[in-house]
Amino acid sequence: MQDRRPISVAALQLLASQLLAAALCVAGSSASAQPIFTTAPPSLQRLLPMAPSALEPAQPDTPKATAAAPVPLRDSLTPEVRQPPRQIPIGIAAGAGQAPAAQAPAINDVQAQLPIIVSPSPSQPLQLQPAPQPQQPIPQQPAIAPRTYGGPPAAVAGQGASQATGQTTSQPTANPFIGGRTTASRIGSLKENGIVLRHLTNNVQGFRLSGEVGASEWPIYVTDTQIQRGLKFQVGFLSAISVMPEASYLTLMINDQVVGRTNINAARGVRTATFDIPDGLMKPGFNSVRIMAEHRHRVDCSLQATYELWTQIDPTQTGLVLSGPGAITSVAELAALPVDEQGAMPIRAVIAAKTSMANIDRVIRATQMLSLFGRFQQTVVDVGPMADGVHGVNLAIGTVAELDGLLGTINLNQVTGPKVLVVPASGGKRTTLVFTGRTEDDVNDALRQLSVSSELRGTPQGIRAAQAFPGYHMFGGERVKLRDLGVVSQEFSGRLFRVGFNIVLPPDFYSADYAKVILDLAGGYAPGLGYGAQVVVSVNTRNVVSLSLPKSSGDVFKQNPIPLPLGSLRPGLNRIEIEAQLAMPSDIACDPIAAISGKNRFLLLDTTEIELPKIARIAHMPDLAVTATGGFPYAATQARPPLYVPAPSKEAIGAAATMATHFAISAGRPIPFALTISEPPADSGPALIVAPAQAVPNDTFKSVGLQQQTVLDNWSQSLSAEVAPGSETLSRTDALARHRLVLQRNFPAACHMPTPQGGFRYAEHTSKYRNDQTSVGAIGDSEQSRLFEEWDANIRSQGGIFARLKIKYDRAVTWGKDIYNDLHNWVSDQLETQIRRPILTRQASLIVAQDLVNGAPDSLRTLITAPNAAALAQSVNCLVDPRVWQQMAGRVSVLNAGEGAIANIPVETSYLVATQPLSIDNMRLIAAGWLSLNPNIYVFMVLILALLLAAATNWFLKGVGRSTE
Amino acid sequence: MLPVLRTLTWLSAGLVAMLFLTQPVSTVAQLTLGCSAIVAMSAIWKFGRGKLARHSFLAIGTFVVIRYLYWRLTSTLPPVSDTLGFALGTFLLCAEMYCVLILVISLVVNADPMKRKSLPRDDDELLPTVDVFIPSYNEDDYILATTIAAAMSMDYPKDKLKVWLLDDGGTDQKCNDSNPAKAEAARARRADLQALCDQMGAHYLTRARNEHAKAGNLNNGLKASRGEIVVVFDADHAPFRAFLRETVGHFARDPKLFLVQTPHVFLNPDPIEKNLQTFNRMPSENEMFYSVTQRGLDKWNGSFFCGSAALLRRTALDSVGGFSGVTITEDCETALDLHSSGWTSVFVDKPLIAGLQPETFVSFIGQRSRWAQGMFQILILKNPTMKKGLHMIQRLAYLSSMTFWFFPLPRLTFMLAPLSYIFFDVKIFVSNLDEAIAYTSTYIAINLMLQNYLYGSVRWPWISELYEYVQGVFLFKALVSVAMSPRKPTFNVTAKGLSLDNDHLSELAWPFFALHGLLVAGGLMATWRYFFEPGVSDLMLVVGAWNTFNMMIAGTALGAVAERKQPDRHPRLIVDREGSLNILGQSYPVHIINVSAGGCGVIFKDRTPPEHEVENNIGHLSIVSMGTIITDETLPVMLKHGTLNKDKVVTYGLEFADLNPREYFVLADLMYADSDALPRFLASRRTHKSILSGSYEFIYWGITEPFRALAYMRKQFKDSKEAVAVEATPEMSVEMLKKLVEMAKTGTPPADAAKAKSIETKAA
Repeated sequence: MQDRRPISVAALQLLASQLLAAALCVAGSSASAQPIFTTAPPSLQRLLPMAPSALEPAQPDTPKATAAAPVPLRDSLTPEVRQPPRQIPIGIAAGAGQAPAAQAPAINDVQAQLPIIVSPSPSQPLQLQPAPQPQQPIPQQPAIAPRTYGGPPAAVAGQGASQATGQTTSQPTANPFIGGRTTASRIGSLKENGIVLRHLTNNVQGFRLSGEVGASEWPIYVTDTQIQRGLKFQVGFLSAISVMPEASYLTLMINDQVVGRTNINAARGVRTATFDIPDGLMKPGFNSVRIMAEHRHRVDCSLQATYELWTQIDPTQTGLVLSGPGAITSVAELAALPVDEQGAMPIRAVIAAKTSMANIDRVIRATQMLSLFGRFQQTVVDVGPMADGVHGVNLAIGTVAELDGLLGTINLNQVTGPKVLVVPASGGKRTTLVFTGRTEDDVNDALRQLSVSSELRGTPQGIRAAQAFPGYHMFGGERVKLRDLGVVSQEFSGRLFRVGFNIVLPPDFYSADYAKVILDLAGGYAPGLGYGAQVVVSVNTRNVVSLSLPKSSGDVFKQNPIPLPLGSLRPGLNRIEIEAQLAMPSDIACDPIAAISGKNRFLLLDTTEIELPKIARIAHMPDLAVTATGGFPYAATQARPPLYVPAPSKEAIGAAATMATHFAISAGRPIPFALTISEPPADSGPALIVAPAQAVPNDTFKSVGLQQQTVLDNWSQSLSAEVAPGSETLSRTDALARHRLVLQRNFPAACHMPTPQGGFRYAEHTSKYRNDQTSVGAIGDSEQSRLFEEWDANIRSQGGIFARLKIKYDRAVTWGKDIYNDLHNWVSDQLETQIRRPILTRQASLIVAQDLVNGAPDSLRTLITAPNAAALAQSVNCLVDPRVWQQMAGRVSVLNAGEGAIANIPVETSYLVATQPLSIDNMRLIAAGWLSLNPNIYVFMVLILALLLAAATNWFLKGVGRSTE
Repeated sequence: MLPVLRTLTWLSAGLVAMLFLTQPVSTVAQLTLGCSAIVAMSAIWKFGRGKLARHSFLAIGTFVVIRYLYWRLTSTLPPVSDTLGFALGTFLLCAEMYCVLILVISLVVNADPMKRKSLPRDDDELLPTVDVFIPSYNEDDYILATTIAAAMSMDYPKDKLKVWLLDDGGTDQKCNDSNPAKAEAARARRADLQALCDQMGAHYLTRARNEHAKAGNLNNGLKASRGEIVVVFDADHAPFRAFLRETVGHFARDPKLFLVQTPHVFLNPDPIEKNLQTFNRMPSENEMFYSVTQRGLDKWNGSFFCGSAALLRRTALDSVGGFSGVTITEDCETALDLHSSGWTSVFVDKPLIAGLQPETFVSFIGQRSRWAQGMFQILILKNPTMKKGLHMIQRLAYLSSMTFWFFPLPRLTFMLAPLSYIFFDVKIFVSNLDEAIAYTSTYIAINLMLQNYLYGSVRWPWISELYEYVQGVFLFKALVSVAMSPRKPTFNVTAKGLSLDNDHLSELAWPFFALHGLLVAGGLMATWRYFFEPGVSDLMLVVGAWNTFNMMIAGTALGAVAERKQPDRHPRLIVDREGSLNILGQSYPVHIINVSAGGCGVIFKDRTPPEHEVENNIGHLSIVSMGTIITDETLPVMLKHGTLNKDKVVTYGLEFADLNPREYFVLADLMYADSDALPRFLASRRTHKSILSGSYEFIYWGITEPFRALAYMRKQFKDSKEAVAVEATPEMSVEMLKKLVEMAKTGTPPADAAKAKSIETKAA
């Protein structure tokens, strides 16, 4: 496969600007407007196969040409679509439809390049923009703005905030582009007047802020030249239909200072808000960007309803707005390489057609280093010629001779020794990084200059964010304040408070309930909370413990310990969420005005601490979860682990490099994989195998516990297909619809959401959002029963003591049932083995399987395979989305890229592998862990010990004291 | 070599077990363990026999306790930042630790309780000479006469047996008391008792000054006598005929033996048994100590002197300068001294004496206070852990007997702890529901099983808690006073044989009303909060249940301090004897079915005297004696009308009229000759009470007894308006003694006068 990214920048820019305007139009139109698709589909090109013709697109060279391009489009659209304010985006689609053969691919290509450059068309009538202020019943400075303790409150009222607060979509167009040109001509013109969005890198939370309060923090690396006066930050967002705009706010904090706040009024389409960043707030290096959303429900004040509330940040519309030169010019600035608009980091490996294995090794090493350098969470490596665009990087490694002719205009003639070149993005090409020299040794020397320093640069908050990204590393026996994990002190006036943070545990963490993690809550709650108010802590989306908030008089506490079972944590990344359920009796009345001016109910202080006890350190294999989250055992071996690619096509090498890089990201350090195309011997250390199914030898299948024939049979239809399933060309409308659906479903964008029958447009209305329970849906069964219970409770609550007794009785019954169920489960756990359903189906896009041959730790094999090479590359790209990646577990993980979901086959026999020098402490903990996981054996051993002790006592007593006559 | 190997094996088994049990395993594993342990222990209980089964049972139980303890210590304390919660939580933890400590010690002590076979009957020539000491302070004459008669009637060569009445109530000091009335009484007492002893063939001994209380008195006896063996009977502890035959032989078999102790058995109920009406169906409180603990101690050569019903070797006593009198529990102190100088002791688990115990709550508390204070004194002044010459387990054994008396602290802590949460929301125990079930509930179940297994036949469920509570309130004070000044407490003679004429509340009842009220308030508060306070969680249910349990204890305790009147003043002993009753010259053979100091019950065998001859007629009862009776006199009795008993047989009551001293020998034979009477009596109460039925009974008391107590209070409140102070006991005693003096002087008492007085003392 060739590079599928065509370049049609001008068209893209125009499209983007038009879409932006369209979004404004829609937002401005009244609430009666039916939903339409307003946003540019992001990075669709990564999902859409391109016609070969698109590979060499004609690039319009002048601004004029680009500006000219869209005009006919618009013109052609106008007559067709009768509703002018909403026509523009649809029109584009229609336009595409009118010239399906020629234009549709081209436009798709354009989208592939993406609206990195956001420039308004002069024809965008400003008067069309909605005036948000009049729509809002509340003044600009909301009375109940959540207070944030991280930064001085003055920042809210400061320069940046005063502009940003209350400002919504009008300003993205009005402000940054004042005096702008009609369109930015092309990427190449960035240096002149181009405006670039530095997108946020994707992370494990995705881009969703859900519940009544949600926040996410990203580190962003800014170079010295990018620090300039008048920096802005743009946020694009879409919210759930239930969100009440008047009482819902989106807050942007940079380096813990509130930069701006806006009402969330984006239920009908993506809206953008741009915030001015006070000069001097951002410093070169890592900076922290935190986006917080606070929502209130329009009509429903129940706790349950808060789960319907979400705001999805549209990553394509979100980022640091850079105007002027921001090019990366040195190795030190590589952390500032721009991710693409979905937050992934595309690396194009520019490799000569004939190259050495050593060179590919070097490429794989360099991609790892680059990802670690910039703390990119989703690196996608592909192989091909120099790629265009502004996102990501072209990586060229090799001797001058090898690279000759591959690098276009870059001239390597001057190179005499080891040389690292950083060629700033220009001429439509990405930033290019070249490691070269006259000889192989020179190249190696050059590569050595790329080493990750442990010293991070940036603001303290930025460094903190970078370190806590994706999670804070903990090793056991330590206490950490949540402040260091990126949580800020907050007051909260809603019903369901939620805050989360990530910690990363070592891959050899032995997870079992042999100790407790103590969460020492600092904060308080207000008087008058309703019945059943509590704090629930969930670990990895599973509720593990709750703490009731019992005092009707309220309480404040500096240390309120909540013990979490250690076994709920696992090696690698863990997300811990603290959820406070704070219903009040007054919620039953549910006065929306009260929601706007609600009193504070809960306080969380960032001095809340989490104490991780000493943990047992021993690894177990096989376990894909450990491999996925810690790179284990590849990162832990002394020898170079073989990376076996039996069929080294470009796609396979790209997929292999992507996987290798991702393991390095998980491990937090580079892994010296040794590429090989012949099967590595069994004792050569843990091996990673990346290949399409047909290229995988039968023995390799066997070594990971799979049947070759079963796999091939399952994929028989797609083995030879050159095109991955679900990759048919989308119409523009469908592309737009898909984008919206991706946002609504919080779908991993890199995965291939299949086109439903009738297209995305209809799917949007009918989809049940299987992935996302938080979305709005029809009243289902559970909903009905909830309503019933509420009504029931409401009616009965008038009945005085009998009703209370009834409630108590019901609770007692529930409690009894719970205990019964627990016991029942416990008994059945002892007696039954669970029946597992087969998970290898035709929907499977990728299989990751791991096993040990005969239990020898050095014989670990991890196989990553897909029906064919193209599908392999595509599915791997989906797999490395942090949210998908995190689902890997067990012995076999089967990815269904159509759902972005992974099904796992658990490990039946796992082997423990020592990773630490033996110490009594560790052995004791390991034993405790093992016994906890095998309670029957524990009890058996205890009883045996009791018998032994009894016998010993008996014998001992015969020899001491008096004997009975 | 073998002992070392045994010890090493045991230690390593214990060490491995400890290592294993302190593994911090998951809650699920713990729950599995707890449930499996309960099942395994039940199986052993049902099917296991022999020592290995016993040790397995105890080992499994101990393991669960250790698991609980480990969890409790490592994960349930409130955070230090919650100062009050932490402080109270630590206190509660200490209280629990104490209980576990006591459990552990008692497991060690009771590892393998001794069972001794009866000794073969030794030849008379080989028997040592024996001095029987009956120390007395203020006991009534009839009690002393009974005890002396029983002691003199013991099966032993008469020339080798001397009985000494050691009277501390008639010392020179008492006779010259500054209070003329008291001095007069003392002088009369001395004269009376001297006469009594003369007539009965015993030796009366008194001394100049009442120094060192009982110990001093006994030492005075030691000085005056020369028998090889010294036997001590409290004035109200009458020995059975076989007493010496069953015990004295041990001295010949072990030259280093200083003590043979036998259990104390009481014929009358203690106030709690009396007020809860359990005497005839529930094992006495002290049976646990005598029939389990002392036997356990015996294994370790650790059984100790309990003040009475014991034999001691004179040479041993001489070697430590006689009985020790530093503390107010001279018995245990003496044993401690002798054990530490290498002497040994033996416990004979055979009830051989029948005694009296305090009948009023006040005297009961007085007695227990003395024990608690004395034991605490020993702990402070002669700490067994420091004492040289004891081996490890002896130290532990003594320590257990002493630290036992700290129970008031934990008991009161457990009683009041739930209130801290109910009233003040102070959390003193951090746990979630899963853990509480996995650890606490299995621990409680296992603990109950352990106790029931160890003491099941001699202790009903929850009775220990009741006794601890009713004593705890006052013993707490007593302990504090010892802690303040360890040498201060003085020996208070326990009053026994007092009568109770009417239902009334004990003078010491008010703290129990206060505490019960507090707990009831706590219960109401918990209920109210649970139903009406939003956000109060299920924790309140657990705490409320705990408080309810405490309320049951406190309610039952109210019953224990609401003194019932005692219609039958003399405790009866079931006997099976033959005799004949002579009424108006006619002799009727009778079957004697029970006997007490005041009378006996008979069934006429062949023919029944005519009805008109029965009621209130005077007769004479002659018995078929079992031993070599000292006298051939008959017992003068007054006939009472017959009643139909359960077996549809008419039983007639015979009330003893005035007995002259020699007639007490007949009574002694009737009561104390059949050594099997007492074991039969004890066995009749030692039925195993299951945890369930015991709990049911306890709850019943907890609910009903407070009402009875309240009724008494109302009555007392009414009566107090008339305010009649009932005084008299000393005067009465004096008067009676005068009469006795008269009797002694004249040889045979004047019938009418003596009768009047006898009835006053015996049948009131």
